Amino acid sequence: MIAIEGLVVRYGALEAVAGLDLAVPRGCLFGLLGPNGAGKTTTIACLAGLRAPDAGVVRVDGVAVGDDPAAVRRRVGLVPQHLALYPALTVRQNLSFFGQMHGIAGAALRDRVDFGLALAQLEARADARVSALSGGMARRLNLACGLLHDPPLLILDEPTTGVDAQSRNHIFETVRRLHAEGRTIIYTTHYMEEVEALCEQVAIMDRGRLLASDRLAGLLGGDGTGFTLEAAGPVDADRVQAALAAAGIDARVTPARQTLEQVFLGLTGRGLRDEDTP
Amino acid sequence: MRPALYVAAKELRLFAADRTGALLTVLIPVLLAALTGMLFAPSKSKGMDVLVVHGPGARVAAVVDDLRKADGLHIEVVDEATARDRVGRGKSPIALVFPPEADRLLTPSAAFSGERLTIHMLRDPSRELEGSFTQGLLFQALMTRLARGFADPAELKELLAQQRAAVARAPAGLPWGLFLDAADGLVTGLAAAEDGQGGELQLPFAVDEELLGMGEGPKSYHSYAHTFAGMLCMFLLFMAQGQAKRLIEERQEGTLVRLRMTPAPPGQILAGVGLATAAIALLISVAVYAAGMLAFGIPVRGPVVGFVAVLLGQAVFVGGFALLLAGLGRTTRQIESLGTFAVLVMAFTGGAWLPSFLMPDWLKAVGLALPTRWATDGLAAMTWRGFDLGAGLLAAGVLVAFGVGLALVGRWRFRWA
Repeated sequence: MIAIEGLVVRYGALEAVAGLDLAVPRGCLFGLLGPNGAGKTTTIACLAGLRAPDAGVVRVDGVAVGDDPAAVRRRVGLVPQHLALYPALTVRQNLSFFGQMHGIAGAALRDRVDFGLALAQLEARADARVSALSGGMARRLNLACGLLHDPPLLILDEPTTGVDAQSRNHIFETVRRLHAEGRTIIYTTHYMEEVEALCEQVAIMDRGRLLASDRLAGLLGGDGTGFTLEAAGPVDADRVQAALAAAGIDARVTPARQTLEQVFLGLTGRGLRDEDTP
Repeated sequence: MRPALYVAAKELRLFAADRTGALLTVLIPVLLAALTGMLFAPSKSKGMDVLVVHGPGARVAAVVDDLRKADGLHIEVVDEATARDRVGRGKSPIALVFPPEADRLLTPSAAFSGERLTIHMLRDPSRELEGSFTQGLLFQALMTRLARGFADPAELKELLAQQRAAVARAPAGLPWGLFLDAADGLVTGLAAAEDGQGGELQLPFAVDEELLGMGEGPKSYHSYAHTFAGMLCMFLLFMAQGQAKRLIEERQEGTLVRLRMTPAPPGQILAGVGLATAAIALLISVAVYAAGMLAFGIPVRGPVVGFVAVLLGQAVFVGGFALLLAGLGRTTRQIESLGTFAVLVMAFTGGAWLPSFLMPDWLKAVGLALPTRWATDGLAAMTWRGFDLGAGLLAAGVLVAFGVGLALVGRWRFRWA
C-alpha cells in the first residue's frame, strides 16, 4: 500500500531522513520504531503530504503524494502526537467540525460523529468541553477525530503519550479492532513493548536511516532454545523441571513473572476511568 | 527570595529565546518615537493649503503675496467654483474669497470712509483651528497692506482729497473743529477698546465664515463621528492581531496539522480565518456605532447604503490584515510587536488622532496610501459630512482591495509548519 523510495529530507544542514526505502503492505499493522530524532515524525509528515521531500518519492496505493495530495489525504487518517483538538469546543463540536472539513455533511456527518463518540467511549461526555476531559479521554477523542472519514490507512504518531494504563489498553484494543477491519496501520512509538504487543511488521530507524525492517518474529529471532509454557492452572515449577528431566530434556524452568502492567490491570481492572479532571 | 529570582531568571531566558520577537520589542518603540518626533520637529512642510479667490488689482495681489510669505500657509489661487468644490469635498480646509471691490477697499481712504471689506471664508466644518489660524494671518496681511497705504504718497493724497471734500460738505463748524471731533471720537474708541468695552473703533475689514459640505442638511462638524471612526478602526486592527495570534497558536498546538490532513485547500482554511475576522469586525462595528448613535447622536447624513458599504469594506480590510500578520509573524510575540507597530502607525498617519495639517508633507502623502485613512475618511463622508453614495462606494472599494491584497500576501508568506 505504501512505497517509500529514496526519501531524503533536510532541515538546513541536518539530514533528518537520509535515503529511506520502506514498503508497507496493505492490511499490515506496521510498527515504526526509533529513538527521539530518528526521523520517524519527518517520515510520517512526508507520507501524509505535510512536507515535501528534498529527494525521493512516497506513494500511497500507487499515487505519488506530491502528484495528488488531496486524493492521498482522503485515504490517510493521521492521529498526531499532539492533542490536535479545540479545548474551548465540546467533544461533539470537535468531531463535527473535523468531519465537515473532510467533506462529510448531513445525516452522514451525524452518523460519523456518533461513530466517533462510540469509538472514544465519550457518549456521556459529548457536550463537555475538551478542556474538561482527562488526558486519556482527550487521547481517545484525538484518535476518533482521525477516523471520521473512514480512511483505509491510519497513521498513529505516539498515540499513548501521557495516558493511564486503562486508556492505553483501550487504545490497543481499538487499534487491533481497526486492523481486524482491514485497515493498514502505521504505529510510531519509541516504546518497544507497544510494538511487540501490536505489530506484525516492524521497521527500526535511527539518524534518518533504516536499520532493520522485517516481520516481528523475524526481528526477534529465536534459536529454538526458549519456550513459553502456559498451564491451565497453578503448577509447581519443580514438578515441571522433574518432568522434563525424566523425559531426557536438559532444560531449566524458571517461573514466569508478570509485568507490572499486568499486575496493575489485574488489580485496578481494565475498565476506562472517565472521571472529571480537577 | 531565591525562588522569585529563579522564576525571574527563567522568564528572562524565555523572553530572550524568541530573539526576533525580543528585538522587535526594542525596535518598534524606537521607530514609533522617531516617527512621532518627526511630527513636532521643525520641518520644511509646504504649509496648510489655503485656496484664494480674487479679482484683479495690485492691492489684493499684494495681500495674497503677503499670505504666500506667511509661515504655515500654502496659497493656491483658484476660481470660486473650484474652491467651493474642494472645500465641500474636504480636499482643502479653507478658501478665502475676496469680493470684486476688494482692491478698491484696501486703501486708507476707503477705511476712513466707513466702507468695510468683507472677505468670505469657506471652511471645512472640521477645521475650526485652521480657520482661526488663517484668519489671524489674513488680518495681519490686511493690516500690513493698509499700513503701506498710509506710507504711499498717492494713496495719502487720495485720503486728503477725500477729507477735504468731507470738510467742504460739512454744514457748519470750523474744519479744525471737525478734525478735533474726529480725533476725539478715535481716542474715545481706543480707550473703550482697551477697557474691553468694544468702543466705536472697528477694523475696516471683516471675515464672513461659511461652513461647506456636500449634500443637503447640516454642515456642522460632529466630533464623536470623527473619534468613533478613528478609534473603531484602530481597535478592529488590534482584534485582527489577536486572530493572527490564534492562528499561530493553532500551528503550535497541532490543530492546523489536522486541518491540513483534510481535502480542504490550504487557501480555504486561511480564508475561513479571514472571513471570521471580517464577520467579527462587522459585528463590533455595528455595536459600536449603535452605541455612538444612541448615546452621542452620531448622524448618518450620507446614504445608509454607503455607510454600510464602508463598514463592510473596513471589515474585509481587517480580515486581510489578520492574515497578513499571521503570514509575517513566526511567533505570537513577533505578531504582537509587528501588529502593534503597524496599527499605531496606521492610526497615527491615517488621521485618527492628529489633524493631518500638523504632519510633514511626506507623512500626509503616506497617509493617503493607508487603508486607515480611507476607512476614517469614508466613515466621515457617510456620517457628519453627508457626501454622496459614490464617496462611500469608493472608500469601500479601496478597503476591499486592500483587504484582498493583504490576504494574498499573508497566504503567500504563511508557514504551515
